[in-house]
Amino acid sequence: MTSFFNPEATALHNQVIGTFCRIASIRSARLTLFLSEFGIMPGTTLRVVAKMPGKGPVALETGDFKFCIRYEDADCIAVEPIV
Amino acid sequence: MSAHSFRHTALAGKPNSGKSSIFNALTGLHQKVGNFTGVTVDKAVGKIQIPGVGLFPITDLPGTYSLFPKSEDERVTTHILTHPEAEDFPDQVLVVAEASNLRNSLLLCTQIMDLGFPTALVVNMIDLLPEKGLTIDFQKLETVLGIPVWPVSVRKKTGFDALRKGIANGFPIPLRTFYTPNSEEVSQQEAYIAFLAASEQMAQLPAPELDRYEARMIQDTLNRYHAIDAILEDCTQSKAQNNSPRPGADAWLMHPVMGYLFFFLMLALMFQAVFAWAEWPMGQIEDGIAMAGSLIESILPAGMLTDMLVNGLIAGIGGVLVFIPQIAFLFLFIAVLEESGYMARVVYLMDRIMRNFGMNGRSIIPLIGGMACAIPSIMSARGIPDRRERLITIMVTPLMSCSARIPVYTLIIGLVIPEYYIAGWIDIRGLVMLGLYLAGFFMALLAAYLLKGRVAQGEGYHFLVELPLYRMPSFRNLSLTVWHKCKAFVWEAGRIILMISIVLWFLVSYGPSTDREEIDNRYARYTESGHFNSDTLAVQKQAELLEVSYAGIMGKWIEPVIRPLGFDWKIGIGLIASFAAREVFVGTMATIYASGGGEEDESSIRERMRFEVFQDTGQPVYTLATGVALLVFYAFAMQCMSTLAITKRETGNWKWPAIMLGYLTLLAYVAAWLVQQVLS
Repeated sequence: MTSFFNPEATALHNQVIGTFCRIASIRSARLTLFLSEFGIMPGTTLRVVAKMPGKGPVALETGDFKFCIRYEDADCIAVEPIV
Repeated sequence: MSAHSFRHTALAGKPNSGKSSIFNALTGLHQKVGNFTGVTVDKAVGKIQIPGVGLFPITDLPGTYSLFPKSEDERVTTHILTHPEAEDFPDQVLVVAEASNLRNSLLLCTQIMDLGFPTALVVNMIDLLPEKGLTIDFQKLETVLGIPVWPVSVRKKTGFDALRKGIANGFPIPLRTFYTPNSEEVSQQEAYIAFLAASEQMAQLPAPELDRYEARMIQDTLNRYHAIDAILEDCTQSKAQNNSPRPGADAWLMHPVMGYLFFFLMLALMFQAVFAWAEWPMGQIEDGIAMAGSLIESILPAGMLTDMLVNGLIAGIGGVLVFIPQIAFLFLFIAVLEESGYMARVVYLMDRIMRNFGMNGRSIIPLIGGMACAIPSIMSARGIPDRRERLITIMVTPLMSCSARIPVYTLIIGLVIPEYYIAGWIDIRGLVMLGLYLAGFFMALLAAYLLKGRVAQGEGYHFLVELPLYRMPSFRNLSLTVWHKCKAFVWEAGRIILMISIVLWFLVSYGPSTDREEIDNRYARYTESGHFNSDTLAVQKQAELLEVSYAGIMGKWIEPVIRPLGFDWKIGIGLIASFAAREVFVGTMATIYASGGGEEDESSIRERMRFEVFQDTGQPVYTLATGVALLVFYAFAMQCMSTLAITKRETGNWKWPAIMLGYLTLLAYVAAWLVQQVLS
């Protein structure tokens, strides 16, 4: 998925392990609500820690909060690279 | 509010913030702690003793990131805090925050403040701040939040005196609010209670109303985080952090290949410990039990009481006590996985696999926990938000080999599997034990796969699992966990076994008087004739008396059903007696075979079982085929009343426990029959 607002934005799960990115947009309202409770929202900086092959979960880090989400949810999150 | 000396405090906080550790430190209780999300799935109640002041009740609520509940355990917290008529509705709330992750902890804190509760914040794990390059100005945090703030460290045991004093003095009403009510709403506090309470009925809302409600929830959360970010900007400082990727343990432990390899190595090590390392302490306990029996026989005069004590009580209880070292090793390994933070990584590794079977990565926590005991594990499934995944996890958790099966496995493996070491140190019996655990796990996956299409799909949800910092497990916590689990095992199992052993001793020792008289008279004639060895006569007489005892009659009654599995009527008695709890099987066998007389240690009972033959065919009972069939039967059978009771509680009706009992009994019977057919 890519964001309508930022042509550079790509789906979160496409990020290379170890790279930093910033959330550009979140496609679903329910996912926005869900992630916002953990302080994850558009503008949040993330680092991809690990990815499981075969559309498995994606492990991420923001500040000192490390977590994992499913591939389907990562597919709904558009991120832009941090230069 | 209630009287000062009875002020009721609730302990709330995000999962894995050390809430239960603080609860334990304040109350001196031993609520389970762990380094992963969802350890506390139900409220726990305790009392804080404040010298010279009194006892203050405190409730440890299940962890939640916010008061918008996403799972059953989180619903408990929201319900208690938004329903003044609730039994545990507190007078004040102590919010626990994690020092190195303050941002995520403050969302819940601001929501609780807006409910109007006298609130205070306790910032835990302050000892980790220097390591993280973080500093927090607690004085300033107190001022900007408008509530008392206490920094503590459970590990270093610092800050608790001030915290206790604060609880005794009572918390003030918060000076600051974060919720902006609509103009028509009566008061900020009432409006927010109503807003949160509405989340319980979210599923029933029609689509447009649900969208509006969700939009308000998002806006409320974003507003709070904007306020929280401003507060943290003001009160915290972070030393320049290295922004380059930090390869650490996760690079290996979450690796798609190395991660699984490490996980299976951990499991293999656990089973070696359970079987091989526990051997020496088990031998010591066996010797102690045999000595206790001999001592009682030497002190008390021969008679009914001595017979009951030695062959009923000591044989039954001793048969279970001997397995304490194995159970201790099992609980120790699981506690290390939980305390170190590794369990959350296992959730990450297993999610993709578990989803194929209608479960999710979190299901691995109940399944691994099920290797210790299915009861708390079924409760821990509350953390799974999707109804279908939760139900499937509950239904298959009893297939995981729990600690109560260890005594049965050990007895039967020792009986039919020869002692043999691969490469000089890998005990083949340990591998058989590992095989049984794997059989339970794979059968759980198969059962889950079959259930997947038969249980209605849940409402859909999102999945996020926190991966906590790795921590060195605390020796104190590990020892306390092992001690309490072993104590609970002995106490819970001991009570049932004590009762069943006495009943069983009676059923084994007595029977219809005419049959017994006939045997007594016949053997008296044999003895008088002087043609037979008196020891041989005694053993044969005992065997015949057992057959005509009440237990023998019961065993014979069930024998036609279990004979296709290769089981005799004595095993039948064991199966009936262990219906309530599996571990009773070993105590029952000990009582049945101890009634033959002589020494009652485990090895001599095993020897007697080894020479047991079918009376009609003269063939040995405990062949490899029968032994493995019995192992398979116990691996799959639903022989635990408490598991059925907790399943009823968690699913809300008797339908699911009835299905559980039916499918597991059928599965155990068919699998044991197949094993018997193939191996014989």
